[in-house]
Amino acid sequence: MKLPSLCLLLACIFTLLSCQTKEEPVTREALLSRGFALLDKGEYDQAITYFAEMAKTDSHRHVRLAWASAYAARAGVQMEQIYSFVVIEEIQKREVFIKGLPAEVRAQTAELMKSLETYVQHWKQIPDLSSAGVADLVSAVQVLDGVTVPGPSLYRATLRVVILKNHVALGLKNWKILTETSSRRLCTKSLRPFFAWGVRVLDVLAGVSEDLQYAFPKNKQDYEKVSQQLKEVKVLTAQAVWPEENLCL
Amino acid sequence: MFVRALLAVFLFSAAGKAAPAMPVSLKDGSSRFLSRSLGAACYTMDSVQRGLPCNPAGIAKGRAPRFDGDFVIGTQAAYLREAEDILRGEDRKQAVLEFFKQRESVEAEVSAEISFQTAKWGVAIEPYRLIAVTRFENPALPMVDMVIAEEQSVKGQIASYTSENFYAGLQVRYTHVRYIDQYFSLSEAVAGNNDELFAAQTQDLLYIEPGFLYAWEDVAWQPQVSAVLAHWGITSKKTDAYAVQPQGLLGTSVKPPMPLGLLEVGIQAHLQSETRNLRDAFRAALSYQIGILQTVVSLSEYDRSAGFLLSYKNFSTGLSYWDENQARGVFMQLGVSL
Repeated sequence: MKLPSLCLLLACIFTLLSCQTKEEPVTREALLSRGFALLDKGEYDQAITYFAEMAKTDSHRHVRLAWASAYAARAGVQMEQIYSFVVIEEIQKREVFIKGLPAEVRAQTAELMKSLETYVQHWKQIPDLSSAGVADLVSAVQVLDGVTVPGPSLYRATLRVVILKNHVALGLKNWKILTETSSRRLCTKSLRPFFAWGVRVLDVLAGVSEDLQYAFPKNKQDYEKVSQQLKEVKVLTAQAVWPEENLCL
Repeated sequence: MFVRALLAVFLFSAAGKAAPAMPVSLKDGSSRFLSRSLGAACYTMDSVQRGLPCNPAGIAKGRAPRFDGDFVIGTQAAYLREAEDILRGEDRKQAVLEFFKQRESVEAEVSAEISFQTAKWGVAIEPYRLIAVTRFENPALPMVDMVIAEEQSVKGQIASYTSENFYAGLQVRYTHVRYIDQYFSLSEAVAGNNDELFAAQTQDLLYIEPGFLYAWEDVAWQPQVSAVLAHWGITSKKTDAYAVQPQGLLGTSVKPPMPLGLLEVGIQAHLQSETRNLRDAFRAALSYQIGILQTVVSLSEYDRSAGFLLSYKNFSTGLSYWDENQARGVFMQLGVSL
């Protein structure tokens, strides 16, 4: 075949290829990538605004997850720090009961302590946040409110665990301040805020339990029992009556 | 005038699109080691010979009959056991946890291929190939773009010398693939409903890929020009991961005379719908063979590779390092030729 004929044949081949000249639609993944690029650059405020705008036209769970994760990124919470809690699926139930034989009790207690130790190790990895960081995580949880599919529910539960740890840490810190500064006397007036703090902790725990019902549908009944128990405790706390006078111990 | 027309449509073909999870290079029908070390440049260079040539027209260039058996495996192959478990649904929960523990982008591959070729035709069978490609974004909550695929392929080539240094060939390639192609957050991967997330689907593809070669073999530098239409065919169903996306490949190579060894330098233009700009379309490659050792280097705007192939009697072993923006890996080849 002559060279000109070859070129003509090649031109025909490439003409076929060039027929697709229309603009390809931009996918959700490509739009999310643009937002993630802002997070990679540390432009958290811009990323939060970007995903918030995107969510106005596309309320897909991935958009809301990205938006929530932008708040988490601004709070300084990365997946590395909370991955171990993401993968804890079951609250391992351990029933310690006395059967009469000391060795059996010891074995059950040892098993319980081992489980608790595992949780303590995971607990220690959760980051400590500033009050602004906790506020960001609360915003992240609100972004995912109402989403009942497993993936986002699990992420919401994990964020609540981070909030829980920081609430507990703040409460313990304030308790330490109180006990170190008080003159050996603890009065109901100074104890009352801790009661309110305890109720807030219960609320977060109840939220975690509810999220886990959606995150792991196969274990829904177990988490429903936990939720029920927490509700009962909260009812009791609501019935508690604080003395009007300031009683000191 | 014809050349201007050719250049015009060539330049006009550039169109931008975000890269999907499954790079087009992994859907290439060429021998795996050639693909990993030369990339698209293997369509225009023929000094590296493992398996059937990338350009089917090249099989008619006086090749002696040969049988090749090749096994290729990448350094990220540690992920492939979990990838296979996820694909087959065996111990999926544990496999998912292990697979995503590292949270690094992965492009892992293992394959086995046997081929036979004579002066005018060739046939190759790839009874097993496993690929795992993942991309991570967003450290706060990783979003994962993942493809895990298991393939079986058969391909045949037929070619002929027509006249005046011109060769024409045709490759027909059938691939059966079972795969998972998903975009998801890491929390979805470990939450309770990941059976639906990791449900595998199957697809059959039949490609018909013509190739042309114009080779001035009597000239000192043995220049040649190649043109191939690759990935043109039909599929059992339309999917994003295994979409039929025709590609035009136009390249040229030369073999400058060397006092010692065989040197080949090639440049390839590679147009497809994912091409963002003209600069992305070009790839340069160099191959130098001396004795039992052959070294290969190739690079483009977005990836680079370098490798070597040692051939002694009937056996060969090769190593290829490949580096792209988000992922890199080393691929090892073990082969036998008869």
